[in-house]
Amino acid sequence: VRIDREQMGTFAGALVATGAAAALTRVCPAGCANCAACATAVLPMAALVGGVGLSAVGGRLARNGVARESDRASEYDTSA
Amino acid sequence: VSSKDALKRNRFARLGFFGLGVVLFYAPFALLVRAAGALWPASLAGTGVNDVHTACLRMPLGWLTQPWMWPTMAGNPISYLPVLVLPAVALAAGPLFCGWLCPAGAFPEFLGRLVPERFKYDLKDHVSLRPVRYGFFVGFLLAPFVSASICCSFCNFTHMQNIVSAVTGDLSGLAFFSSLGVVAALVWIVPLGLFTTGGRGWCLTLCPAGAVQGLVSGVSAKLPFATRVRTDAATCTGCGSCSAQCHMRAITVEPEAETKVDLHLCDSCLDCVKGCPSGSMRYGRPS
Repeated sequence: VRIDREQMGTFAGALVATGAAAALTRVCPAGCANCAACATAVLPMAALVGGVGLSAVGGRLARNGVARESDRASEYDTSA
Repeated sequence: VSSKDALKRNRFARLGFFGLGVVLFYAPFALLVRAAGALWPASLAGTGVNDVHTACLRMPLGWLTQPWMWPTMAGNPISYLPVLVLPAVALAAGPLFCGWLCPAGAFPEFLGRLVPERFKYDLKDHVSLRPVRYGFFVGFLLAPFVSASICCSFCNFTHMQNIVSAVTGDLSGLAFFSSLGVVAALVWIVPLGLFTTGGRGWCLTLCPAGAVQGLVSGVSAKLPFATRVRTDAATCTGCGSCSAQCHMRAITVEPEAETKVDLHLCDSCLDCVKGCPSGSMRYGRPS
């Protein structure tokens, strides 16, 4: 199984997003964790979906970073 | 039989099995829960409500990392379903539950066929699906350690139960439309359903039951008894019809490269096998 930097970044992002959503379910002083049935559902769900989306962006940035490093390496190879 | 006819027949058969899933898991039928209640009268299935909550496919997975919940699990045999039975099926034959029996997965998938493809976005083009799926799953397992829960707050099975209840005459389930609980339902049905290519965006990213079956199916794919969807590189023409039909976005077809099936995502629905014009896809053991 090949796990690259993009996949690691995306995995970490999704994990953090889920953690943030889970933590937000504890914000409400009622503490019933039944957020799907009341207004607090908005925040955890936004954290979850938004965070997963951001993790995809983070993963892509990580991949592009690798690509840029690779480009620079090939430039060095050419000049050499 | 042409591949198009075979594909149609396969989808029709799957629709029938999803109906069976409704009868097995969801009130007012919930035959599986009733059977478990008859077998174990003292368990939750015998004393609780006869609906999908008693045969919950999410919370028992979370209980795995919560030793203080193990006695509850031990006294409630139906909770072995997501923890033992479905992973065992996935080990032998892939995640058949997801592809053939889960109404909560099938509902947005089949409803999404009514939406023109030009209005949909393909998650596969924007995000690496496997790490998102497992990232969410690990977060789901770890959440109880910070006294939080990602179970009932984000449950599409609950909303599917509400829909089934409403269709069968019990409109009380629609009460969630009067609260912002509708947020989870809308995310499940609209952006991750109707407007996602394949209609299975929720399954691919936010379903712990799907994640654990995908994990088992993916890591065990090379075992000699593992029956999975496989490709024959020698006869594959690279036409891409399998990838286009795959609602789990698990198939990658690249020019001058072997067609690949990501068995961490594939739900063994067999649409690709039945719909392959060259017969290059098969459902079987490693060759």
